[in-house]
Amino acid sequence: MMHFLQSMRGRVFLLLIAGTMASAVFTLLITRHHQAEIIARDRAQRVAGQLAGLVHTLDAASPQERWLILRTVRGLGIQRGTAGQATPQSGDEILLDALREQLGPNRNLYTGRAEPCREFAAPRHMRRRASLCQLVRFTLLDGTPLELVVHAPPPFPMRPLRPVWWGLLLFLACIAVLAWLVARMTTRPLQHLANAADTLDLSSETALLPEAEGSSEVRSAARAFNRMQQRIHEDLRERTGMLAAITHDLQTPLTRLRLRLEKVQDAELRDKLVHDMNAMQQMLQEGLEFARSRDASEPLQRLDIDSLLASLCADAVDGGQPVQYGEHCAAEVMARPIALRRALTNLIDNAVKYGGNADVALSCDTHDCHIRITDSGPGIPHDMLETVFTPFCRVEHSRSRETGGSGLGLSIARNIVEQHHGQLLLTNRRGGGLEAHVVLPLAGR
Amino acid sequence: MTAHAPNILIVDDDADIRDLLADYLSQQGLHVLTAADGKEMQQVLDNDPVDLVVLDLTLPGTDGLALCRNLRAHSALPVVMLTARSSSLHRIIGLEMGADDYLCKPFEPRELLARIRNVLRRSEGGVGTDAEHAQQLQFAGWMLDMAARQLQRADGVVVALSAGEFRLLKALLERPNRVLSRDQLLSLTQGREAEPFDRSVDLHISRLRQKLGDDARAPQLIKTLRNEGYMLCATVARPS
Repeated sequence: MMHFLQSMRGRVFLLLIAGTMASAVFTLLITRHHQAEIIARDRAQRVAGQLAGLVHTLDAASPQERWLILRTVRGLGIQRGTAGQATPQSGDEILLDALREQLGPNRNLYTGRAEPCREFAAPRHMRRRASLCQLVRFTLLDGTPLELVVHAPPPFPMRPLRPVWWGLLLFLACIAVLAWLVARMTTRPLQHLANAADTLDLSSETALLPEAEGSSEVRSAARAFNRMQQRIHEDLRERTGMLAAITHDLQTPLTRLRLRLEKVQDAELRDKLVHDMNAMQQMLQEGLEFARSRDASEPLQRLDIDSLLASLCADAVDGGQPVQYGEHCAAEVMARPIALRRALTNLIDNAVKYGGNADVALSCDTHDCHIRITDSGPGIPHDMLETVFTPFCRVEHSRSRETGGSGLGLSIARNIVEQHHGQLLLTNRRGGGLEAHVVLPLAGR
Repeated sequence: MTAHAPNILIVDDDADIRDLLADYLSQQGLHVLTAADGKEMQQVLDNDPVDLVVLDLTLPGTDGLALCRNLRAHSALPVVMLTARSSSLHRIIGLEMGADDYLCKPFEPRELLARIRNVLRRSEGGVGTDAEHAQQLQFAGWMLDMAARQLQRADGVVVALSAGEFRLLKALLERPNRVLSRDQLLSLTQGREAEPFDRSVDLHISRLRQKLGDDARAPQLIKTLRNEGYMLCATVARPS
């Protein structure tokens, strides 16, 4: 649940539901208010109509008749005002407007609240409710001022809201579906972008994001992402190219140097110089290999990994190295064979160089194959197990120089293994010695 | 070996390398001529008999690859290419253009000497076949990639070879349906004579059979001929 709330999809979903619900409630309240107003106006119109009828009758009647008429209309809730009933409170504006409309100008119309109301002989059905009395003052056509108290029934009570449960549920379900669709629509491109960034293969020009799909924002994000990917590739190519150029340009003077060394008469000196030059050349070579280890011009092929390990071990044995190929199984991986050969050779060479020997084993499970290259050497201090993968990092300086490492072998190996979507880990074995563990995904059937 | 010292023509635009190399090779008993570019190379070839050309890949004007292709078109003169680049791509191109061997700068002078001698011996012995210049060889549903030094099965799966296995298979494929003795195979693959009790050929053969899926007890592909040697029984083709 927490996860859902933290996801953008969850948030958009909840926000949409809450927003839609709030706006629905708001709309409902406005409608009810409007309804109440219409009802009030309608009632005021009716009362005004009654009053106007009375006023016209009074206009036409003689003063004696007026008295009689007013007595008669008491039953309708209209009465002559008595002294002291008027209050300073202003009366019903709606009623005043309605009266003005019906009676026309020159009547000196005024409305106000009248208190108390109880002396009123109101019709029975009206009496029970707490009523408000309106004082209406006006002049008749002959100029006689008149003051009437009108018993206005209380505002018509609105029926309280009774929820229709199935309707509400249906409404909620509709909003939920809509909110879910919208949330998915908005977050999917983001997920695509994340996936693309995650699988961004620095070594090869992977399929770029489609730039002509989705909304304009999604398209512009895809374009930006693609540009970024291109820039990374260009940078990488530039770096590789630079390293290659340096290595290449150094090869001519090195060739000269190597040939000049043949002229050195002192055999011991010459051997030492040749040894130095070879070390230099090896470093250059490894620098170039390192630069190339992220570049993948070599095509992916289905490779029998068992045959590769067997060949590497055979080569090492032929070269007089104490290497053994033990447990193995039949396994195929999608690989760049030359690059993978380089990576595994580096690991075996390291084991022999620093551990004295290499035992190679291959095991398989349902998804991966595991290559374990172990030695009987001193291992690596625990806190160095990760840092040795940093380019030019050596565990023990004096010793490594003696053995002529450039500090790039493991970096190259890890780059290549990661390029194969695999993992390379180093661990110290309990019984002593180092284990290089390579996990590679098996090729699908 | 011919009676006279072989004439080697070195074509390289770097004067120092040219002279140093000439010095070294003449010390080793070879007769050396030099040229700085394609034009000079042609002049030398017109005037002197040459047994082998050591050709630099990057030359001003017409580059080494084009020169090599021209040479191939007109003669069977052996060529060893030198290049400062060491990617497999160049190796493939070099072989395709018809170079007999290929070496990356900087190289061990002794290594160059060995390659020169090897190429000379092969060209004189006439044992070389078309297969030597092929990039790929097809046989019995398999394909051997000469540049990557690996096998590919009919279903596309790559089967890796050790250096020894590759050399042995190459030697067998270059001479299919011919019996080759252990001594012959040893000198073809390792350039040395067989020592007594040398079982390395047998070991490599058994590993090769395993990788090729050839039953060791009743081999169909690499047959054993008792007291004679081995024979590869298959039609070897160069894909066009």
